[in-house]
Amino acid sequence: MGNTILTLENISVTFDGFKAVQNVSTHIEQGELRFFIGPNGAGKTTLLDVICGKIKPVSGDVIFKGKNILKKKEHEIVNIGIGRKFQVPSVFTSLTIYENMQLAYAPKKTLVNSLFSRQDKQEKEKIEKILVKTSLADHKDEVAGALSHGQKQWLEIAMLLVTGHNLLLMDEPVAGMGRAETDKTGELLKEVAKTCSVIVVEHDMEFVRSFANSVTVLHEGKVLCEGPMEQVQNDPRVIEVYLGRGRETDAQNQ
Amino acid sequence: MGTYLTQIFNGISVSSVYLIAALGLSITFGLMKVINMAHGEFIMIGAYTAFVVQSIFLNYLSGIFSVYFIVAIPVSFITAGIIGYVLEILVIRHLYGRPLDSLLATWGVSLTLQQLARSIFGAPNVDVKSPNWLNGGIQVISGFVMPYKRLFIILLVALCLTGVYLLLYRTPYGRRIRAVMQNRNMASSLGIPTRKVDAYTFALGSGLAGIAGCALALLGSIGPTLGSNYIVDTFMVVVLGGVSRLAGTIAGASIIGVGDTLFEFLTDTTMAKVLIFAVVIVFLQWKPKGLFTISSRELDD
Amino acid sequence: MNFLSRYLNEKRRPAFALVVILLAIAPFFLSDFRVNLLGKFIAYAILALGIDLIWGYTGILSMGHGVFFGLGAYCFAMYLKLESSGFKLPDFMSWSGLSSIPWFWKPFTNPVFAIIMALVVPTLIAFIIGFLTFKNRIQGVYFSILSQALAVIISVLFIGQQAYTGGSNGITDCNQIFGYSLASPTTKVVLYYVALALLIAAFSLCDFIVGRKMGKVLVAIRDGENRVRFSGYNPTGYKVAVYCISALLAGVAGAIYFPQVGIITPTEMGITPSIEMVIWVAIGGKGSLIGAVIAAILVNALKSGISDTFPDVWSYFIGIAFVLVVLFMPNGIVGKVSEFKKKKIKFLK
Repeated sequence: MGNTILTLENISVTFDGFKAVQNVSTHIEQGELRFFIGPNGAGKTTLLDVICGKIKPVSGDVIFKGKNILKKKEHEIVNIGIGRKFQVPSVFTSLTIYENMQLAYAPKKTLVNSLFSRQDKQEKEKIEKILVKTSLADHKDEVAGALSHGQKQWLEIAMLLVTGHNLLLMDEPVAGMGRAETDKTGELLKEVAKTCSVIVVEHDMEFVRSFANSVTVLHEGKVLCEGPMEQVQNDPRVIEVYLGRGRETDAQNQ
Repeated sequence: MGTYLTQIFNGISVSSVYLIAALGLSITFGLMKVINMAHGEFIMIGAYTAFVVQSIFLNYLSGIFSVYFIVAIPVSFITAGIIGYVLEILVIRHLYGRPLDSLLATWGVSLTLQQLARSIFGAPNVDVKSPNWLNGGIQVISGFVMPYKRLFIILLVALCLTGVYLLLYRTPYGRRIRAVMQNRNMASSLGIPTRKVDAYTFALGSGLAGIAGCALALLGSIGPTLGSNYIVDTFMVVVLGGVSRLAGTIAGASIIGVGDTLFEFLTDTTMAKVLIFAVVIVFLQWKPKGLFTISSRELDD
Repeated sequence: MNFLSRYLNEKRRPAFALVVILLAIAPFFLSDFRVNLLGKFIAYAILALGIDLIWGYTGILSMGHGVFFGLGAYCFAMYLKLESSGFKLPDFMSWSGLSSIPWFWKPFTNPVFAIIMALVVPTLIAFIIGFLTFKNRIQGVYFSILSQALAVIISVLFIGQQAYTGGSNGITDCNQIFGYSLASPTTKVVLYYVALALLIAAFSLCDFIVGRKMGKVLVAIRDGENRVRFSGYNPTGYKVAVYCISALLAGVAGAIYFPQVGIITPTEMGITPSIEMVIWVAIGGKGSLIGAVIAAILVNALKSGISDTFPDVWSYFIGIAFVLVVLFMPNGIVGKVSEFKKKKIKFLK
């Protein structure tokens, strides 16, 4: 247990009386690449929202590096090492790619720092390195709004990489990507997971199969089962949920 | 006792005017994400329409003068509605989903309409003569009279509110409006003519403001800036109540209207404004998105 | 197009230098009356810079900046009124039945205090309002509506407190500044150059902010406030800061406006002037500092040209200008210029 980076304890979330998440508990190890899967409305995104502070749960605790982070605000949670990528690519459209990266990089994000600090060599090198890795280096002076959908996704991932988080939360990082782009994103994720833990919410089962080392299946706000991909795949309850729900796995695989 | 009741009664009648004015504003904001700063000018248009109708009766139909106000109400509604419809087509529909830009552009519209009123009717205020049957009032207890005028206004607003409610929740048209409000793209792919729905709804909101103006004509003088006197309070109603919920608008209007008159009675006009503003700010500390809200999962909405 | 306007933005410094040179030599060619008028427009340009910072860059539409402008003007006016009354009871107070100078007027006998207050009061009010609204994530039109309500309330409050503020007549009839006559042409020219110096200072401040990472954060807030939050920045602090800075600039503008114009009334703090200020920036081009400066001066020059002779025409003009600019020139003059340049480049290719 010494390597656990994040623990969720009995998390419950309600929206206007509707129980979106009920008593979910799980823990993520250092360097783990964990996938949250499940049918629509299973509460996957809601769980990410809870971890990064966007939604406050009605009960339960979120422990990160041994500290309860439930009371912290979103930007504070980011600054202690949890990064978040949203479902819809959200980059700053009227800034250039390089400026987007600069904003993400800053080690100290206070008002005073943003007024008086100047860019150092280390910052420049790190940003350039990651831009090369995400194939964005040629576009660095272009406005982010002009990028293609896939490039925006990569920019967002690049922004997470440059910040140097300990835990990344990714909501459907390959949504709307072709197979080649998807594979490349998967490789990126693997590389990311070398230095930090990653939680990915994903629908694309093939993608999950190729890259996950552990999977949590959520169903109607509860954890259905959890473990390595092979084990989860053969779990009768999982098959029941997926097949009973309009054969979503089949649809995704085609 | 009588004075307090009078204040509360006046508060309710002021609330009812805010309510009907805010209703249109809140529906159009909810529907198109457009805030119409010229909404107050539709109040003004309604009031001037009442004045014109009255003058026509006075000059040509003096025999049946007493019914002019009954005629003025639908005429105000239609006049304001038609001008609203034209405005929607010319300006508003280009501003969908740009609430801040819509504030500025419609402010320009408001200035233009005010100047237009000044050019047509002159800068000095005009008055309408209320028909005889609206003068006087019911003596409830000593010191507390309910004037017919104010009772009539409350009744009128209650009728309009019922009408809007039935329209929104009991007719196919209302279902369309609500569908477009909640998910424009989905509604449009289901074959709902969203553009038409927008235009009619905007016209409806403007028409309601016209009725509010008609009612206000009974209470005081009419001038080109009549609308701008009410617009800020109307906006506060929307902020307080949250958008696109009928119940929120009603609650917001009641709080602002009664609060306004009550504070005014306890202190004075200026302090009342300051206090109401303070109340709204304090309230928003507790519920930043208004009384009635719909939670959304969008990152930036 | 974005790339080009960015390119132009980098050129804002030489462009501003040109404007400053033109303004600096203007008094040698213009009549005293026109120099005085131009000085007033320079005050407006300072104000426009602040509005551009908060609206153009950060995307927060404040429709109550007239309040901050007015407060700056009133604070300095209080000193000038006292000086012109020989530090005795000002005329409007005795008309309202006061027999002695109210306690909060007394410190304003000190000019340094008055000038400091002209900066502090607007900033402080912006801080309080900004903190209470931005902390609760009140955004977009909700903030705009509240800022507009602020304009109504403060102006109503000033009208109501006749004895302490001069009521709807405002503060006027000042004839002295630091012992010099306000009416003399020399004083007016000096004031003109002080205004110009303040404009240069204001521009440099905005230029500094926009050039630093803070400027990027502000633009990022405009693009997506929540995304900024999830990048580890607290937008509340930045928004409160930018609101305060723009209120401060408005206060400075008000303070240099008053001695040149000689009157400040609650009307100047109401909704109409407050929103008109925003349209200067819209015409110049949101997010272009130089555009804001030029448009503030040009629009007001046009206004004084038209409205003196045809006041009706001006109302129509400004009303229609609002609509047309928002609909057809979302990036203002600067945006149009860069579009035109782009077309020219395409044509030449």
